[in-house]
Amino acid sequence: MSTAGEPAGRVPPRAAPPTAPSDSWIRETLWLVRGRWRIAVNSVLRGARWRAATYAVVGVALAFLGVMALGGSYFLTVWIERLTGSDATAVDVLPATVLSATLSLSVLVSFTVALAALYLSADLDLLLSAPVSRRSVFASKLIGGLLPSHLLILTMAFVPLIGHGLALDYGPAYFAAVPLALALLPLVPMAVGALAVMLVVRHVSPSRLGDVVALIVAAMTLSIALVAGGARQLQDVVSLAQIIDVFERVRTPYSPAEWLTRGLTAAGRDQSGEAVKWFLVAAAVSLAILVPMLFAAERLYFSGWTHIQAGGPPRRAGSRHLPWNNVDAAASLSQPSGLFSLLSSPTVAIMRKDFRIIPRDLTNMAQVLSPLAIGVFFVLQRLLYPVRLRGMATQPELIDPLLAMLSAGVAAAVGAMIMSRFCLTAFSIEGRSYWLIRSAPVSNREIVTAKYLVSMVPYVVLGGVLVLLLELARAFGDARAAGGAMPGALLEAFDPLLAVYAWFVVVVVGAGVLAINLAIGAARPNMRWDTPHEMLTPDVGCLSLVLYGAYGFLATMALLVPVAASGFNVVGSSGPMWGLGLGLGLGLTAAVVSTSLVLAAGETAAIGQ
Amino acid sequence: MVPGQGSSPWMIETRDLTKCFGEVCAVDSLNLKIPPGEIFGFLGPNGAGKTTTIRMLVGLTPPTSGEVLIDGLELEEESLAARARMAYLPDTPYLYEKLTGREFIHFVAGLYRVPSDRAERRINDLLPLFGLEDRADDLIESYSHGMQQKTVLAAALVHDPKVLFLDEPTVGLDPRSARLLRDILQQLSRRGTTVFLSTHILEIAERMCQRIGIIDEGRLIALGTVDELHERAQVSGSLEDIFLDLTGGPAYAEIAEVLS
Repeated sequence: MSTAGEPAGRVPPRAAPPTAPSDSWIRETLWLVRGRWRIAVNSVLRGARWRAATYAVVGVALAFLGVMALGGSYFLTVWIERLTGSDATAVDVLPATVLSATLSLSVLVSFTVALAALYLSADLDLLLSAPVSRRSVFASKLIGGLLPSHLLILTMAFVPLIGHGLALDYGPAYFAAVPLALALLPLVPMAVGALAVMLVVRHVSPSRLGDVVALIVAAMTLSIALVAGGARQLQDVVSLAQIIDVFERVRTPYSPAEWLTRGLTAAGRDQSGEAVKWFLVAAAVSLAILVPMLFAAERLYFSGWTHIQAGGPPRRAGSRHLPWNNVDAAASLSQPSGLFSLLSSPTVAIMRKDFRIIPRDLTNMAQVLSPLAIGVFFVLQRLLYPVRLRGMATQPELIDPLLAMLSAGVAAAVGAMIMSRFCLTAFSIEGRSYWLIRSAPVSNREIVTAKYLVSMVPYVVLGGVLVLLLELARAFGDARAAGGAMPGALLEAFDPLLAVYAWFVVVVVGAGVLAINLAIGAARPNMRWDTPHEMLTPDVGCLSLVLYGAYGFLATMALLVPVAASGFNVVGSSGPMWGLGLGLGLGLTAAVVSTSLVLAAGETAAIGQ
Repeated sequence: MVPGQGSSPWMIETRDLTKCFGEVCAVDSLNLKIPPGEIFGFLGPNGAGKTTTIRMLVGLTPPTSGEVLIDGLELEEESLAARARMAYLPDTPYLYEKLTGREFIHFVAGLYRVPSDRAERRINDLLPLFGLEDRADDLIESYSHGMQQKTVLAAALVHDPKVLFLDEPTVGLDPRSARLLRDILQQLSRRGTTVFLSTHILEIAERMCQRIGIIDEGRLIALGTVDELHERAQVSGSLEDIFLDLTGGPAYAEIAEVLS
């Protein structure tokens, strides 16, 4: 580096041999964490304005949710107190549940975040080859990874605990104890997460590490979707008192969450001795677990890293030979056949390429498991709890068409949720490889057609399967209510014409929804992602939901109204209603699809410049 | 010349090609005329505008002003026809890691509308030529950098392009692969393919290229055969000496001296 007054290009004389940058690993760790913090601040302040705006919008949304959570926990506590006559055990269910849920979430998040931070970040080669102690690299990665995610989780827990304290009119000791409890709560999960990562990297192939994270995230979202869906059913069959009873029974005396609950509630009731006792127990046990586990994890860190290096870098397979790939299968990428022969060769090549690369990356598939779980849940719900009018064994004529439209709505919503993700990321998925398509003799129209069909073709199939399953479930419910012999009664109750019309509605609505998402995805692609979940930014997701939600509602209503009005009787006086409904629905969809695809083609030209 | 007929005597032609990013012009009024079958070396220090020029020539970056003609076809007006005649190898060839090598080349054949039987024949020739046949059905993510380079080069040749643009093609290649690349490019040149090559390895440029263009701060500062450049720079010695003389070399020489 030249100094002032020195001619450019002049190399300063050799300096004294470098010494260790710091005599303390703690100072090194803080220095590395500051570096990470600087990168984070720069990416917000010096990044694109839309990104800063997105953070602002997300911040406002979180603040709103926080207010809702505060109010919710306040009124829930008041309600429980009134319902149980101020029974302390029942009232304490809320903080116990919040802290237990936070602890569970912390365990899962600690593992996935620690795995990504400790082994999958891009700067590890640089850091581990630099004259910085491995302990400080380990500590800085762990802090840099776990701190932001845990701040978010703990904030989510903080708000309802405050609402609970306000509702019970607790004193200042409670409010001072809440942050302390939340600070102690994640210590054990962090240590367990870090150590689990060290053990996993020894036994899992490096190429599968990213997939491990994807599967865990998928499992989390799947469980949340199913639990959230099932909660409504639970509400129908059991009372709040029974639910409280269940939560009371699952409180275990051996969990840090339970000790901190007891400490917190004791602080709230001004039992300072009891509060100090439980906080000390929680702190002592947490630290007794944390310190040796972290030391063990740190010891194993570098050998884990060398294991990964020996097996190739993360997210890169060893020699992964795909058994289903042979010469003929590969050749199909350049050979349009069957219905595909109606399309141009580049369009077919892009489609078939996407059909191969999307399922081969489990991270892509993991992100659509939640909506798929919702779909499965709805089918099961319709099968187990068929919608029936109270006291009526047989359903009036109008009900079946309406339920068929409900099936269509569910199938369209689930299909749209799943395939919208692929439409929104249709261009982002190309990433840095987009130069290949961009420099080839492929028109924008061909690219957009390929990208549209990549989502539309599976959507049509998925929509058909969902409608068929939902309609079969409905027919099964009808057949069971009628009490007939099952195969015959089922076939009698199943109306193929209704199912076909429901599928038609699903296809028409989906055509518009996917076109809207493709246009948004083309206008706001993220081509510089490292992991697939970075392809989609939150603002794009929100914009998409608003636009396709509005269109989907209007189109579905237009196609539903004549069915409802006519009792699915096309012949006769309802003809004009059919004409009006179909005209409005199809006209709106045609306008939306054509406008969106033209806009997408226009945007395509600018991508990757 | 009839537009779109490919009847120009020049395979690559640029007319006052300019690209500015804000107030900084990465490429400033570049005029080049490269005939069919020539291997043209494009040299310049870091940040001189080489990659921007190549990206404009292949249609990835739109120029601020000026024109690019490929085989007589105006790139902006007849984009698809012009792009069908060329192939491009970027300095960092990002590929689809979840495709196999064979699938990738078939995919490129599809993009360039190569009839399936011809694609099959070409791929069967190209895979062994680049030593890829044993790993052709492995995912690209398991390939080394050199294998990825060879895969993208094989894919670039699948449609038998008339013009080949290569941006630092020898980066990451072992000496054997670099030699193979050189032989292939010379063979292509003899068959009439124009090769536009940007490289930092001056020895490669000196050995392979019929003409060399040197760009510095966006401007073409020298153009001609190695002999012509010697004459112009009035420097005896290698192409490296000419390059350093034209692009401010003494400073680099001084650094080398101090470090030694």
